[in-house]
Amino acid sequence: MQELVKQRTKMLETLPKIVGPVSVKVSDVHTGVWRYRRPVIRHDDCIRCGICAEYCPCGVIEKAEVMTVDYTYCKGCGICTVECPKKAIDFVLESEFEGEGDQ
Amino acid sequence: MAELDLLSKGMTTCQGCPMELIGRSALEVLGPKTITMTPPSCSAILTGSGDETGWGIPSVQTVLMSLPAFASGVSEALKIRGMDDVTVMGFAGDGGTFDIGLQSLSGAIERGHKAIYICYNNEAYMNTGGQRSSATTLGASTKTTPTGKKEVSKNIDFMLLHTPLAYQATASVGNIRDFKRKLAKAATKDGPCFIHVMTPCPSGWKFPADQTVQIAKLAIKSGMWLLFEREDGKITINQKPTNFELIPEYLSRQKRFNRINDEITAQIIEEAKTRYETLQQLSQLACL
Amino acid sequence: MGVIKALDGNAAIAHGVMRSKVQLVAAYPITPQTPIVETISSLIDTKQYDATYITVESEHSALSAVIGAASTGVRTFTASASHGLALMHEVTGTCSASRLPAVMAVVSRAIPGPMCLWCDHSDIMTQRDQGWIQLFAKSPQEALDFIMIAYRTSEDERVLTPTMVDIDGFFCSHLTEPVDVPTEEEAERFITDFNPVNAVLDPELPYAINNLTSPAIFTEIKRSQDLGMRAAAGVLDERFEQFGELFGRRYGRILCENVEDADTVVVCMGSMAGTVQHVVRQLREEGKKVGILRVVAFRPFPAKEVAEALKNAKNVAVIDRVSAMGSFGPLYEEVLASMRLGRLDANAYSFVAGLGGRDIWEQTVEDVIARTEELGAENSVCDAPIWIDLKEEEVVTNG
Repeated sequence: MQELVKQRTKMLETLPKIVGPVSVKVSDVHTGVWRYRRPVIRHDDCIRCGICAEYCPCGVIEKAEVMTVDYTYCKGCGICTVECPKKAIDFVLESEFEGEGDQ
Repeated sequence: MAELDLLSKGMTTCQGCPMELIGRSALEVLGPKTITMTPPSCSAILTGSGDETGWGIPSVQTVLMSLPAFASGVSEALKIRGMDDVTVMGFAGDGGTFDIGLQSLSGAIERGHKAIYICYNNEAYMNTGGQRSSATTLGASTKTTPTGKKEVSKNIDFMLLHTPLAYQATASVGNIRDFKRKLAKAATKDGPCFIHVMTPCPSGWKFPADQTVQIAKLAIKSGMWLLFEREDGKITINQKPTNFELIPEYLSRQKRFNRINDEITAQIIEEAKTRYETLQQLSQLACL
Repeated sequence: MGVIKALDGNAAIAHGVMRSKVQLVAAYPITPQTPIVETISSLIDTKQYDATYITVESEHSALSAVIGAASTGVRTFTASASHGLALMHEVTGTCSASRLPAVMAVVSRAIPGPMCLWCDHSDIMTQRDQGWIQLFAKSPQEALDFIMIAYRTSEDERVLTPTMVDIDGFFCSHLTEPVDVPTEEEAERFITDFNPVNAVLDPELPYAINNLTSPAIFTEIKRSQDLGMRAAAGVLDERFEQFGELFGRRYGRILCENVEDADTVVVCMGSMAGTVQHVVRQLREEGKKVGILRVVAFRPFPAKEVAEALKNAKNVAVIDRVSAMGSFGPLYEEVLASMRLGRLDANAYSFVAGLGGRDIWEQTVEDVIARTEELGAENSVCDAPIWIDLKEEEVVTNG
């Protein structure tokens, strides 16, 4: 679960009564199911420059010890695969993906 | 552990949507002490629907015609309440900026409220399915100009050069660091700021979603999009066009230009050159 | 007692706004409301009044700015008329649905077309279903008092619904009368600093306000709004009572005179009430059993109170200062519905008078009463509104 969702769920517990069209829950659509191709980072070639994360519209790439993709939300637009200066991200058809995968 | 996202990851924008990237990047710069407002537009997808919102910050769904007026009210009310450290961010498309919202925008700028207005320009009314706006490029096919737009687009940046903006800039999803730098600068200003961002729309412009950033980069290189900023009475050109001859390639990579002929292409190139020449001359002059 | 000043309706409203400790005003000038804009902005500009004035570029932006500010938790005011109110139409609904307790003065002027500067209620009637409480003042004193009462009502957590205070263009807006203006200390006994009780924009508690609402919940949100509006009836009664005790000026959602034993009752709103009242008193002296029922709160409509007041009447004449072309006047329709509520079977007649600034003279009211008694004696059914003071020879038609 996203941190934002967790935080807001907690906030909701102590929310004062409000009237009118007011939204407080966080939208959390698992948009990963839209994906028909997935970006797969070849960690050996990755230089952790973070450009993929910078250009990811959905904010699903995180710079940790290795770059990680949150496939729960990744829509598979492929921008990261194009922008990667080392071309270290493969764009693999979901039907042909054989690795260990979430989703 | 990364800092808390201020925009949910699970947003139902289209694949490869540059508007979402701009919204996300904006909050990375502005942080949690930001109030945002969106008109009915693609950016309203981020504001959400029903009891759900994508934002981790407070937001208002305004009407299409008067986002800047809403922002004026919020900005002044924040002053009254002593909440001077909160940034007001308007986030509207080209329709809400160039067309129906232009009057309200001009009023808010002239009155000098402290607020940042980000216009993400996808060159059509994309949230209603892609009808032409006054920002649509000449020759582009849209739902209301199926044979190609007959008119040259409105140059809102030049229009706004003579308004009392505290800071004005163009930016592009093709250069996200430049956008963030400009936004950070705007956040330090005590007046109205306008940042106009080019956001090529894969769904509306008809190119593969993975090409979003590439198309934006090509627009900068070819002179179809100019990167500049205006501050303290001076225009600075941030990146010079490399080669206007790249324009045919820029056009051919988008199916919305399928119907243009050589004559229109030549006209588009000519217009781009003139635009850049004008900007060069303006950058030699003192502005407001 | 406050300070007696010679004020017209517009100036009285400006003083009401100042005494209500409004923090932010955004308004755009339009005849005949312009002096409100000038007075408030000048008071602020010359530092006689500590508030923020946003000099917007249109009425649409005026109310939009007010909504923005009210959403951020400050007390707000705007004012408009006619074209301006029409331009605001889109956002009057946004304001009320967002449950923002803003107050607006409407200085009634005919809505176009044809182009007209003068008073009738066609402008405010376009707003009757937009979810605003609507109070009709008849004099500068009432205008000031109703502004203060409006804030106390709109901001009540049971209500959270904005209010329009209506005065008639020129007849009230430009009529100078002695007005008892409460001193700051006196006013503070009735109205204190604003304390927002509903959601406001605050980074500590990040809400999205006025979000897209689906069929799954839209009806319930509208019903909640309707209940807020209905709750305003009781709250208005409390506020009128409290105001009366503090300032000695007593009001109600309806104000009646000579109705208990009246055979014929004239129902009206706004500035014409003074003339109707005068005629009724004169006719009473002549021994005629007539009365006046003046509706002060058009929204929420005081149906029960109207039914109760009309229970002994034989004939009811309703004067609408607007023509609902092809149908009956809006006030008439409300009165009919109220009469149904009380199972009353008095004769009721719909009159249209005073359009586009045409005066409603004593003779006009006398004609209305005479026609009503005439029709009532025949037990006639009202099949269409009766246009009073109409120059038949000038009505051009092709039919």
